[in-house]
Order: sequence, then structure tokens, then C-alpha cells
Amino acid sequence: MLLWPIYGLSKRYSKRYKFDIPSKPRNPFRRSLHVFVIDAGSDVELLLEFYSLMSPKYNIHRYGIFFVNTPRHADLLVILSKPTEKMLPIVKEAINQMPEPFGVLLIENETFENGVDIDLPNLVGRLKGNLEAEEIFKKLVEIAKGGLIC
Amino acid sequence: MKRLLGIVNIDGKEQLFVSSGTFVGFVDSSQSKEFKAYNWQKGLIKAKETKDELFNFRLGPSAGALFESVVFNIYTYGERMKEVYIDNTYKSRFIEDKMINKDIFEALKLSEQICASFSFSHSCAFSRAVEEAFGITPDDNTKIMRLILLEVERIFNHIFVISRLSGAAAQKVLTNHLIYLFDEILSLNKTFFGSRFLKNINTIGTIKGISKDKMEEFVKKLDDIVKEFSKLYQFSLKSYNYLDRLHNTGILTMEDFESINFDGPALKAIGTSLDTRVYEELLEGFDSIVHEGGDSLSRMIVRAEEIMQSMELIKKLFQKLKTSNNKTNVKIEKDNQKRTAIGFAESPSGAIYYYIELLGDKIKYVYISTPSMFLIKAMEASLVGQIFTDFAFTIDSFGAFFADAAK
Amino acid sequence: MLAFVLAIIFFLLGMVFSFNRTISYSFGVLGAISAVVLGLEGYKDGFYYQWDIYNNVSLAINIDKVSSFFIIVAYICFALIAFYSIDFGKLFKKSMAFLMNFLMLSMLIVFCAADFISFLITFELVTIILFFSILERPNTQKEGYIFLAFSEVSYTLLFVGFAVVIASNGLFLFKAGYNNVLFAVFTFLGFVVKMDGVPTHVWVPLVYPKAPSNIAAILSVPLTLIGAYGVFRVLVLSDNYSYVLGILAIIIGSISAFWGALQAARETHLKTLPAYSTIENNGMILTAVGLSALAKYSHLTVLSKFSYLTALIIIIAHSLSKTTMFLTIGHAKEMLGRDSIDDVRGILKHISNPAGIGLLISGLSFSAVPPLVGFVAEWMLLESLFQSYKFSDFLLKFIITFAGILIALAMGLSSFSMKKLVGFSDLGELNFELKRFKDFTMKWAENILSFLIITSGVLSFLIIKYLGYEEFLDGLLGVPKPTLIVSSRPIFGVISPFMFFIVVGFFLISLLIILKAQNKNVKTTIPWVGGLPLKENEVYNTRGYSFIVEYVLRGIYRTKELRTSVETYDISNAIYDFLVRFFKRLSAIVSNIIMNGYLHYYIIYIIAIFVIALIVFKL
Repeated sequence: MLLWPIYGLSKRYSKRYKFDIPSKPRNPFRRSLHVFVIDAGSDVELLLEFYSLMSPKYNIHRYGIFFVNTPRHADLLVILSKPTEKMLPIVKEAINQMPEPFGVLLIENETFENGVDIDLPNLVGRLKGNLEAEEIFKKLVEIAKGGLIC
Repeated sequence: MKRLLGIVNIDGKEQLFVSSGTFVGFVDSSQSKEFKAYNWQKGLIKAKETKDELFNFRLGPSAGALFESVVFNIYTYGERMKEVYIDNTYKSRFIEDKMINKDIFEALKLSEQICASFSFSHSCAFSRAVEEAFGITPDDNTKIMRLILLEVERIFNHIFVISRLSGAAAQKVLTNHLIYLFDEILSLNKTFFGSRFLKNINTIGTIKGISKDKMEEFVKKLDDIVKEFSKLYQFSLKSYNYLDRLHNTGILTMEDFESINFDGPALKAIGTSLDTRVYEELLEGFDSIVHEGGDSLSRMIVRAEEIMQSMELIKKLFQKLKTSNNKTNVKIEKDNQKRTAIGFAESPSGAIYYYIELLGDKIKYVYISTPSMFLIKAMEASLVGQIFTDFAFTIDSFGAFFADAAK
Repeated sequence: MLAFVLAIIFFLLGMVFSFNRTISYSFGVLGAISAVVLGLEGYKDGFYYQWDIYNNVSLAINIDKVSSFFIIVAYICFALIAFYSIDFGKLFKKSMAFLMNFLMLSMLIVFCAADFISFLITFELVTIILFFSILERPNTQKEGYIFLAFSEVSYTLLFVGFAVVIASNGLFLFKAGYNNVLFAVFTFLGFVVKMDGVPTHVWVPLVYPKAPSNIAAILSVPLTLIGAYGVFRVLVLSDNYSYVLGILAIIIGSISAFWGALQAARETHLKTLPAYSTIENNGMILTAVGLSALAKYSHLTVLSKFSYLTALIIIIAHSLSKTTMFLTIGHAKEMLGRDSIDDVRGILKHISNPAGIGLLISGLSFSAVPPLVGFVAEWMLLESLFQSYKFSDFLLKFIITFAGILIALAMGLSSFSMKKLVGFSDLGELNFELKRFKDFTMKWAENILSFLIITSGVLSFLIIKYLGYEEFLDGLLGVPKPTLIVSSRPIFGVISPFMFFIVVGFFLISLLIILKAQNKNVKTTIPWVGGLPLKENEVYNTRGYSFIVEYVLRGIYRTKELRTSVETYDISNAIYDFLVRFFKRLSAIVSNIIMNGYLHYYIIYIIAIFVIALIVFKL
């Protein structure tokens, strides 16, 4: 084992600096992703999954994911289940109040023809099926790290 | 002590769905004077129109903070809440209507979708009702497994409610630790039973079982989690700040019970118990936990001690499990015969009652009496006279789910 | 002299032509303008005219600096009130035009009078005219009598004071009261009652809401100016007793200021809040005057002059702002027909812009926002109270420091109340139907007043120069020579509202230009309240705004929480409730003893009177 300065210096000077790092499109949410969750008429399963995401096991703050209480501060609007009749205008108003750029994530549970189909702008993802906290977590981290395609 | 569970239309006549001691059934609506809860069940109580200096502080449908979509109409003149009306219709999915004309297995799936945290209790109550209608007796293993899983649901539900309560009281370390335990139990459920909220396990007449070795492992891991909870709980009782926020907040009295008829830990905190588990033969020697006080602190103490009690019950019931799995034959006749039945189960926040009318194997009429319907009225009564700072503690201490009440 | 005669002629013409409201009020405006011209002339070189009638009885008119200052301030406000009433008076009877012109005439003589007889006659005339003006609205007899009672208390005290002088000297002129202790005490108390010092202020919140708004403006501004004028005169005439009078003035003044602001913080009625604010501002004037007297006693000439100047500036600030406030409130109240702050929402957008802006600017002036004149006045008052360290007497230092604490608390609470008044009435959407009427002159009166408030704040250095206090103007680096106001020599504290206006105005205008030029794409949405739009009954109201103060100070306000409302009241009323009950019981007992219904007692009374009359007339 060489003396550490010589080791370090040799490594340093033998590196090639002529890489061209290919430019990726800049992720608008590279620092943090603020999420606003709106419960548009689901049973509480998805809500409890989101609640358990706050457990220290997932440590979402490490990825810069925060939950906010108003859509005016939010980057991502998460709609839990297809909206019922009465919740439809409220979901539309929440989308109206989101500042640009934003994304919408629709999560549906296994339900029997529940809710109304609406035209969602900036749809980032649409998850279906019996979801668990792990999968929601993975999706959120993917969005936070630049998975927005809008 | 009688409770009015609902007002049902049978054969064009209005009947009262009542439970009193061991009797659960229907009485004629001429006896409606004996039940003070008749007025609000019928929708006869209207919000008063002119409010002097009060304005409506509406906590709107979508209020953030991972809360369900309900409207709290709080009438106030400043710091104090004078009248509260909760508007629950934003979450109505009309599941009772959807169940009509479906066969019983589809209806079972629908009943699990009323409220995920009570899904096992709902499916338990529904399957018991159907089994009574068709005269099916499930075998002992099924009964024991059902009781065990009911207690598991009770444990993780109570941990959720206490974590929400301590989150409102800004005890962040305790909250995070409890959320961690809650998530651990859900992961355990997923590993051993295939579903985090114990969905798709129960079915009519039988239950998806697992081997006794795996069951032993499950019970052991659950026991570790409950021990850790018990340590946290003893520690949290030493925090004067935490207890002071919950003490004398959201007080309910026996008169509130007379006019609202709620049950569950909210009633056990006043000093009486209408727990239906005392009528189970497999849980011999079961004694409900009661506490005096009627405030949020008592409700939290009842819930915490019930967790420990549930763990003991699970261990006792586990001993009774037999290794062999002989499945009962589930015979559903597809004739055109009318059948009616009532089934119930003890969910973490009170008893759930199902009244079903069957035509063959299709549902003709369903009435579900969920505990959250009553707890919402209890919330309205207990918030009156409090200041806004105590709003969160009162709401979270009841453990009521609005999806459950809106059905 | 010409202006004096012109003013009297215009007022008399206004009284004669009172069958046509427009002509009558226009004559009133012209008369008031002539009175202002008289004041401006008289400030430079006054005049004195004496008319000897009898032995020692003489009538005199004296226009010197003090009276001309008060005439200028009072008659600017009167001119604008009369101009406002050209359209506003059409909602009331024709007799109000007659009464207002008569009132202006009498008040002119009150400010000019230099002898007891003309002063007392015109003082009483003012009271009676105002009594009849308050009765313009139906069902206001009780409030009219309460006003009359308190005015008569002040009149009686003045009468006793004057009678003492006449008994000792035999002379009927003001200057005969020089250094007479009883005269000083009684007249001082009489004028303090006129200025609504605590605890004689209880009629103000009862009477102001019931009077028409222009009469309420007159009650608030010129009437209390009479009290201030009297206090000024008394303190000049009683040099020997300035120690005691100064301490009394400071104590009563600071307690009134604090009490007025405290009670204003709990009010939700449209006219009661400015009523308590009047009490507060009069307390501040009294404090400044008292401080000036005490400083003169302790040979601190610079401080004495500065606090005298403070009193003058507070008078200007209070008069202009309070007139604006009452006139704009009257505008909103008559158009909507409601009289609680919650019910008159939406003044700025829906009723009229000048009214909304006038209310906003007067509210800002009371909250001491630069560069308005209220800011200058309150800064000067606090500066003069801060200089209490210059006094060598420990008792004076102590009292002035406590006065400073109370005044500072009063300013904070009054800012709270002004936010309530202006915020809840100017902004928002209309709740009730509008009854539109012709309001051209009303709008222009409000506009002129707002303009006056702003300019007298920005150009306050010019006012100080005109009043003759140039020693308090200086300059700094970047601030040209006379635009800086200093509070003492050597320099203690400085402000310059003029430079503030220019610098901040420059920044704001450049910001506006930059923002306009940017042309951004902006989306406007409704506020987010859970997803649904706000309904009418979901808007925050004034009771919610004041409840926190009412709850924290529930001992002072005696807060009672009822089912759907909250009740608070002013505990100074307890004194009068006690007196009323005591006298009712006393009169009941006495009348039961004397008029007891037995015939032989009445016969005894008749015989007794007969006997007494015989004895007296025999003698």
C-alpha cells in the first residue's frame, strides 16, 4: 500500500477529465416535492397507507417529500380513488388552484364502478389495484427524482 | 340499556332496529318515544337558522393533513365553538344500494370496502348474518381464527388512534414511534395473511387459514410489538404536558349516551360497557375495561389497556387452535326462498350490526349500523363549549371514520 | 374685522333662508370660510374690542393667537360639514339647517368672547341647539336629556367659577380671574367635563349612535374643542397653580386616553367606536397641555413649548380625522340603513370610492401611520413624554412616566380598534340593499378632507412654521433644512414625514411602473377554503376579532358569554346606575313622607305657608 498522498494524487492525475456528461432534462422538483392528498371518496385504506408513509422506516423527508395542507403550496396532487359526485367540483377547484408546474397522480383501489371519470390535466401516473405503502413510496420517489413526463 | 341502531322499512312499515342486552331485533315504531335517539336518526333535528353574533367557521371538505373529506360547520363568536354540524355526505358511495341484487360473495367484497380499518369486522358481521340465514355453523377453527383476527384489527386500530391523538398533542417522538409500530403490524399482516388490512381472508362459512407453526410465529412477533407499545405507553403517561392536554377535553356524560346511543371505547370511558364479546363462549371470563371520566384521556386509556387485553386474548385463543384444518362444506342453495338474519361483530370502535334480507342467494335489502354513525353525533355534542385549540384532541380521540358512517 | 362681520351676516342669512336647505347650507359654508379667513387674519395680528354697558359690566371680544387657532381648525371642519350637509341634510328636516347655522354663529362668539356674560350665554345656546339637533331622529329623547344633563354639569361648574370672580372683583372680564384659586379649579373641572374626561364620558357612547352623523361629527370635534380652548385659557390665567392643575390634567388625560382606547377595543357598533376614540384623543390633548404647564413650572422652556405645539398638532389631527370618519360612516349608514360594523361591508367597492378612501385614511391617521398628520401628532406626544427625565422633581417624573405608559398602551389598543372599523367596513361584499341618493357634495367633502389629512401630515413642517415654532425645524444630510421636525434643543429625536413621503412615494411609483411593464400571465382564483366557495355567513366577523381581547380582560369588561352572543359593558356606567337608583329611592321616600295623602297634613302646610308669608312681608 502506497503512502496515502501519493495514492490519492496518482488516482487523481490518472483520471480522464474529458467526459461529456449527457445533459438530462432538468427535474423541476429536484429539491423537494410537496404533495397534497385529497380524499375524493375512498374507503380509508389509501389514506392509512399514506399515513403509514410517515413512519421513520420510509423516512420520506430524506427524499424531500413533504405533505402540505393546501393545493396552493403543492407540486403534486394525489387523488385517492375516483371522485364521487359531490367531490367532483372540489377536485376540479383544487386542480385550478395548483401553481404551475404541477402534476396529478390518480390512485384507485379495487372498487366496483365507483365514481365519475374525469379529464385530468398533467396526469403523471395512474395507479390501480390493491396498493401498499411500499409501492406508493416508490412511485413518489420516482416522481421526486425526475420521473415527471409532462 | 337499550340502543336504537336504526330505522328500517320492512314490508312498508317502519320498524325500529334495537339492541338491548342479548336481544337484537325489531320493535314497532310506536315505541319511538322511549328512544331519545329517534329524532336525529329520522333527520328531524334541523340546524337553527338565525345566528346572532355567530359566524360559521367551515372546516371545508378538503382540509389537508391526511384527513377525510367531511365538512365541519362550526358556529362560533371567536374562540369558543357553540354549535357544530358535521356534513358527511361527501363520502357517500351508496354501498348498501350497490349490494342489492348481487350474490353474497360479491356483497362480501363490497362490505369490506366500507371502511378499510374495520374491513375484517364488517366482513365478519356480514358472514355471520349470512351463516345464520342459511343455518351454516362454521367449525371451531374458523370461529377461533375470526376472533383472533378481530383482536389483531383492534390492536392496530387502537395504535393508529393513539398515534393520531399524540400527533395532535405534538408529541412527535411518540407519534413517529407509534406510526412505525402501526406499519410493522400491517407488514406482518401482509407477510402472514396476504393483505395489510386483512381483506379477502374471510368468506362465508370458512376462513383462509394458515398452519399452526406460522400462526405461532405471528403471535410471537405481534407480542413483541405489543410489548414495545406497552413500554411507550407507560412512558407517555409520565408526560404531564401530554396528559394535561387530554384531560377534561371533550367530556361526554350518560345523558349524551341516552340521546345519541353510541358505544365502544367512548362508552367504556363513561363507566359502562355494551361490549358484545361478553356473549362469546370461546372468550370465557371476558371482562370489559371501563374507566371513569368521559374525556379524551379516559378514551385513550381504555384503548391502550384494550390493546394489552387483546394480546392476552390472542394468546389464549391460540392455545385452543387445532392443528387439523377440516373445512366445513359451504352449501348455498340457489332457491327462491326469502330469508332474513341479523349478524354482528365487535369492531374497535363499537359493534357493527347487519340486517339482511335474501332472496335465494341474492341480496334483497341490507341495513348496516356502523359505530361511526353514532360517534359523529357524539363528536358534535362534545365539541360544544370547547375552544378551538382542543378541536384536534376531541376529534381524534373518538376513533371514528367518516367513510364508515357515510357508507 | 370685515371677515368677522361677514361671517355673522352669512350665518344670519343661512338661518333666515332655512326653508331651502341648499341655500341655507351654502350660506353656512360661506360663513365658515369667512370665519377661517378671520382666524388666519387674527393669528397674525389679533384685535380686541370692549363695550362697556353698565358700571362694571362690559362685553368684550378678543381674537388673539389661541382663539384664532381654534377658530381656524373648528371652522375648517364646520365648512366641510356644512358642505357635506348640502346633500346629507336632505334626508332630515329643514330645521336642521336653521339649527346648524345658529350653532356656527354661537360657537364663533364662544371662541371670541372675553367676558363672562357673552361666553355663558353662547355656551348655553350651543348646548340647547345641539339638544334640539339630537332630537332630529325619532325616539331619541332619553339620549338628548343625557347630553343636556352632562352639559349642564359643565355649565354649572363654569358658572360657579365665574361667580367666584365676580363676587371677589366685580369685574366681568376673563382677565379678572387671574390667579384666583377657586376660579381655576372650578373652570378647569368644567372644561374637563366638556372634554369628556373619565368618568364623565358615559354620555358619549350613548348619544353619538343616535344622533345624525353630521351632528355626531359636530359633537365630537367643535364641541370638545370648546373644552380644550377653555383649558388653554385657564392654564394661561393661573400661573401660580400650574403645578396642581398640570398634575390633574396629566392624570385625567392619560386615564381618559387609556380608558377610551380600552373600551373601543370591544365595540362592534359603527358609531360607538369613533365615540370612544374621541375620548381617547381628548385625553391625549389634555396630557400634552398638562405637560406643557408642568414644564413651564419647572423652567424647562423648550419642553414647555414643544408640548404646547404637540397639543396644537393633536388638535389638528383629531379634528380632521374624526370629521372624516363620522362623515364617511354617515354616508355608509344612510345608504344601507344598518348601524353595526359587520353589516356595512363593502364601502370601498360598492358604496362610493371617496367614502371608502376617507374612512381608510382617517383610520390610518388614528393608527399613527406615516406620513399622515396623526403620525406626527402621536410621535410628538410620545417624544414629549419621553423627556420626563429632564424634570428634577421625583413626583413629576413618576407621574409623567406612568402617563407615558398609559398613552403608549392607548395607542396600541386604538390601532387595534381602527383596524376593526376600517377593515371590516371597507372591504368585503355587500350584505344588504343599497338605497342610493344624490351624494355629490358628500363625496367632494370626503375627498377634500382626505386630501387635507395627507397634506397636513406631509407639509406639517409648514404648519409648524406658520404657527411660529421655527426652532423645532432643522435639517440633516439628505433632508433639506426646514423639513425635519426635532423634539428638543439639543436634538433628542427627529422625524421627517415630508422626506418619508417623497422617498417611499418614489419607490412605490417605480415599483408600480416596473410591475405594470412586466405583463405577467396571472390567474385569479377564489380563496381556497376547503374547496367550496365562501358563503355569506362563513365570513369572519367583528365579534370574533374582538373576542380574544374581551376574554383576556374579562375582569375589566365583565364579559358574559351567552348562547349566541357575547355581552360586555363599560363599568364606569356603574357609578351612574348607582346614583340614579339612589336618587330614585330618595325621591320616593321623601315624596311618600311629604305627600302622604292625609288631609290634615295639607291643611297644616297651607297654614304654615300663610304664617311664614305674614312674617316675611311684615318684615
